[in-house]
Amino acid sequence: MTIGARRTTDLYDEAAVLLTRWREGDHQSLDLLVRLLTPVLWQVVRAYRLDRATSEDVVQTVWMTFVRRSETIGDPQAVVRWLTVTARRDALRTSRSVQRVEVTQDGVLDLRGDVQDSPENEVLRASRDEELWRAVSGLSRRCQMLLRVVAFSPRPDYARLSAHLGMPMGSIGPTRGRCLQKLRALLNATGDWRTS
Amino acid sequence: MTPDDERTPDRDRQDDLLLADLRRMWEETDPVPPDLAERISFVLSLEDLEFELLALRTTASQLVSARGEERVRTVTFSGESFSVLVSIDRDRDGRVRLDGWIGREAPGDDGLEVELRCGQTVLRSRADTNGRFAFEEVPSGLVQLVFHPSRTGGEQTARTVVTPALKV
Repeated sequence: MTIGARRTTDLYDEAAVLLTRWREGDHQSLDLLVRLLTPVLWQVVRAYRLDRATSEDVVQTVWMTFVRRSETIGDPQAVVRWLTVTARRDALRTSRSVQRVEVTQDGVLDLRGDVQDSPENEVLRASRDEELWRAVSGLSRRCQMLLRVVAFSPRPDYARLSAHLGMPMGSIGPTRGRCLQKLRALLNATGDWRTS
Repeated sequence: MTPDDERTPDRDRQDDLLLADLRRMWEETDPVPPDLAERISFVLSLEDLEFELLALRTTASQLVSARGEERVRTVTFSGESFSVLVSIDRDRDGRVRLDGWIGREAPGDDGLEVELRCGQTVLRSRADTNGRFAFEEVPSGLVQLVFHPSRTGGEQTARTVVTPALKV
């Protein structure tokens, strides 16, 4: 499997362990769980084109709901899905009720990566990101949203996704495929992109 | 069905790779605010979690990041119970003052106890009959307003109401 998929599995395992420890009374595990999954929830919420302040709000609310209702999560392995589904639902509701959809900030490319790689890799990676970012901007809003949600919602559950994205269930798989194909076409048109 | 829709193991693998690239690109171009997890932990550390969380609303088109680069910030929060407007001023000496007004729909707002959680300490105040309250000399760092239901007669709010954490 891919690196991304392996990382996803690690995330599930780590989250499950932290949830179990927290349930056993270890308060620090909750902080670690928050630190582990807040970046994922951020990406899921941002897919709905909410501005940054609203997105922060939604992520905070998701965690509060989690603390109050975590006993309804039976299997600790389900914690990531529970959180991402709740985040999507809350983001969708918020995007409908508050018209604070960001216009300007999405047009600004802000590359801020952690400096962990060698400078050469860093430059290569930045230019790849820039190319990818430009290509994504050329996609329809619907494609951009679908791909971002799918990228950060491991093992996507199409039934719930269809409700959250307002698409018929049967069309999500094909739409995802078409959006990725369109993205490949845009990448091929702009340069010598090769998937890693 | 068009050829584009055909799922093959090779196509699936390519899609997974491209999605992994996308994931990394979004993480780098639109990263989570660095202190968001910390602020969430701060809110979750409240002892009584049976509270209502007010939602952050920006005023007009003014951008209010919860990180405090600005000298004067006006923030509104609203929820089922009531809304509240908060103004945070930093003077030239770096002292921070927080003024708040609870919306008139606040139940029993003549007796609402207001707390400002800041780090390890808690500052206390009480809203006046107009729903006004103030905290002077607010320490820098994460703060959060907590509104307690009136305990001395009158109509009571059903539960404690809190704002999200703000960085001042």
